[in-house]
Amino acid sequence: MADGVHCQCARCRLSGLTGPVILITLGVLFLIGQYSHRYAFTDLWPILLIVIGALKLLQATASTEGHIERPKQSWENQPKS
Amino acid sequence: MATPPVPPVPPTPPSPPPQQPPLPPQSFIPPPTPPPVIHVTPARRSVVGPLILILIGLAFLLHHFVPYIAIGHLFVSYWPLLLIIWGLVKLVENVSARRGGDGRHPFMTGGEIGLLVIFLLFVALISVFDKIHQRFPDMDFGDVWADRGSPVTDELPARQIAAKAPVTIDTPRGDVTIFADEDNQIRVVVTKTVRSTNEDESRRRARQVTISFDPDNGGYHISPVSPHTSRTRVDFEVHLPKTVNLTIQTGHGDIVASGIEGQINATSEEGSIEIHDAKGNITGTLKKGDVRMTNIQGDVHLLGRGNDIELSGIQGNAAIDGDFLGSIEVDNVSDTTRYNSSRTDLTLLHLQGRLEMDSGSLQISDVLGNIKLNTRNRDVELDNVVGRLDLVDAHGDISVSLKKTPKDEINIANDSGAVDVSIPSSSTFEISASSRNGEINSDFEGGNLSSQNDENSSVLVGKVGSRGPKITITTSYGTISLHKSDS
Repeated sequence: MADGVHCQCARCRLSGLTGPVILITLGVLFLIGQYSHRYAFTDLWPILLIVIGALKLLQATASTEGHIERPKQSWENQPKS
Repeated sequence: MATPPVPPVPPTPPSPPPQQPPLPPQSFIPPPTPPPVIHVTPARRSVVGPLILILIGLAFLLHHFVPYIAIGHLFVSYWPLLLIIWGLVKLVENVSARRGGDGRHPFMTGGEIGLLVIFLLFVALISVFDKIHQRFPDMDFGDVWADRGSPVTDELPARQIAAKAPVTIDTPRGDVTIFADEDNQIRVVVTKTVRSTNEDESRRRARQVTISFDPDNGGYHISPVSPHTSRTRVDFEVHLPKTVNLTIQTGHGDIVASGIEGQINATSEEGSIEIHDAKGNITGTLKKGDVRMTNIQGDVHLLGRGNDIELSGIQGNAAIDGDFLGSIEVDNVSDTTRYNSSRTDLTLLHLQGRLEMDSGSLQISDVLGNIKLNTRNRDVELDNVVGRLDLVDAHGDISVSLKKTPKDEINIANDSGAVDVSIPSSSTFEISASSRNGEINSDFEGGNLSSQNDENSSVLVGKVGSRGPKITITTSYGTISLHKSDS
């Protein structure tokens, strides 16, 4: 990263949570499936869909105040000597 | 003496400044100027996409945990509606976004197209699952991933038990088989199977499963105790006196009992219930499975949801509450037969013959008492019915055939379907038949009958004979046919 500033607007922060949330949810569901007498993972997986949907919903309705857009870096941008 | 002038030392020419080798461009690259920071309001994200995802998740969840609502069925029937609503909401969002000045809002982002594809795949998947389930109702996709286990069988020491004692047996996973072949003691044979990676480990774990066989409320309570996980299966084979009252519950397994004279309350969440030669009232609750009960002197009450039902020889009432999507066969019920599902309400008295029902048709024969039926999307065939008949149907064909002259009212109300009624030619009755956008054909003719057929409806009203019960038939977009049955 050439500079260290990421966008701090609410939507972008939530967007960064997506990966971790999916992993944690998967982990919790597998855990419950392994040790519960009644529920197996094959019963619980739709919860993952619901969690992802809820997160995306929060993203869509989150404020984007202070959103910083960075065009991507590429070799074409380098000055030629 | 004068010294000769020393010629001035010529100044050393300044040495040329050392040539700086030209800097190769590669060794010095000025840091890239940070691109200008742009503050923009990013495009508005649609709310519908995530909502659809949540809906799909909820649909699957509900389908598994609240099976009383046929979610899969609803989904497969109504999914285009969901698509239409999606489009409409997107349209509204688009229009409001344009009004708000945010013209860059794309109609369908890449993510939403992906979601649409996933949605359509889910619909395809669910209909495939539905079809597989209809053909192989016993398949359970959870078992595909399981290892095998080695069963370990134990016989628990027998205990004394009083007549009419209550016995409760429950196992989260396993079959329960009851034999009424003891006089005053109760014997339990338990088979434990733990799925594991190898046989020895499986046996070792099976031996660790303990069973609680304890006195409870004047009788006994039998169930497995921890350690118990979803890989453990505990089957019970219980021998006891026939006079006990049983409460049996299994999460994933079948219940079989015969020769019991007490009450039986059986619940199987994913399995079948089979009870024969019983002399008490039976209550069966299922979520997925078949029911077979024969020769029961008592009332039978089935609840929940399942596949096939076979009830034969019930000296009492037979009542079914729920959606059983397979084939239902009931014969010989001495008192009331009742079936209440989301689509059908049926009550009839004294079923001497047979009732056969599947998802599209219902056939009943030889009923001595009144029949009250309210259903839809079904073809109905009634043969040899005596007594009052109140029948409401829609989008199906009705065929009623009487072998004895009618003595009670007959009311048939159909919608978008034909009605075919056969009555013995010697009957006397009063008829009022009307078909909207349909025809009426009648074998009965005579001065007291007047029929009126015009473009939009046909009506047949009148009397046959001097006195008789009133027969009322109405339908639309279908033909009413009145036949003489022994001519």
